[in-house]
Amino acid sequence: MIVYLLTEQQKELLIGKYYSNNTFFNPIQDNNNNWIISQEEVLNATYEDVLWVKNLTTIEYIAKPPIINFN
Amino acid sequence: MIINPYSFGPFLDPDAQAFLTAASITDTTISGAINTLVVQMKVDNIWTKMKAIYPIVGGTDNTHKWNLKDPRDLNEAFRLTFGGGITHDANGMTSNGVNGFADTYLNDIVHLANDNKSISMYIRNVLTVGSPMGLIDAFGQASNRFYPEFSGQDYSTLGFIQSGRDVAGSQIGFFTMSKSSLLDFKYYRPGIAYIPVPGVDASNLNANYYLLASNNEISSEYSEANLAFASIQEALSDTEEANFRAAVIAFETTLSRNV
Repeated sequence: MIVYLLTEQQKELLIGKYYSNNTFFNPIQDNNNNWIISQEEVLNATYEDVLWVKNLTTIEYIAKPPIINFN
Repeated sequence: MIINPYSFGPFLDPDAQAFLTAASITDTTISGAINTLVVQMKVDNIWTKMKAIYPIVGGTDNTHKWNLKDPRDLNEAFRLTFGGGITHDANGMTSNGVNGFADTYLNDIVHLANDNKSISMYIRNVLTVGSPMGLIDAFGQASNRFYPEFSGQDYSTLGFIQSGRDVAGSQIGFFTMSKSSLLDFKYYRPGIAYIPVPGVDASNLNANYYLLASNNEISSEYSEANLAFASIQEALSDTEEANFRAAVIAFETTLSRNV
């Protein structure tokens, strides 16, 4: 799965910022601690001040392991 | 008694009407389904037990965000806000499995009692990883979340230290976990009688319940769930759960999105 790579500074710019009427960006860290956002956020970003996300570099998504207590 | 889902007059139940007005929904099939659901829950005496009901109808984020029990556009009314990648359509809402979630603003310790709570969901797809609803502490211990399968085990746990058990019954349909005791909780999965799950009691968490993911207080654990209904309420008896299940299944059937 393809996701979009953020710098630390870009992540800070997106936290709490809406990309549509009811949905905000949710930058998360992948398993290599890269900050990323998803394809849906980039595709649906329409507000002028966040259109820069459409120029972000793509990377393959590697999820963090599930939070399961095996004991 | 089951209300005929195709029979409703020109006057809707006031709570159903308030929800439809807030969501700007005029479709007659959806209106009828919502009205029947509300009336049925009142007939079955479970309406007053509900804290938040998310029918997830109308096909857009603007219509999916509303709490049927309190359709005000406020966090304190448990109206949803969405984060990350979510797709909305007539079959409900679906997370991308990367970072999509909905925040209910319903806090475990503020709004629910430790031995009087239950959570329900209608899920339309099979998950083999990821949590479609709930919250868990940052250490993977105290759990209030559905986790229908991971490596062949079901880790769904409500109000206890997280535990696993063999997957039983169907992976799709209506699920409820209800806790009215400090000794165990009842887990109702589709297609089987309830499972009594003993465990180690866990204090309520100071965090909000999420849909499409579980909140782990400092981050989230995401899923690819397609949810068509979710609710958070006081504990339900076996009869109340059976009536609630029947009402929600009738609701989904009326909307032609039952699985």
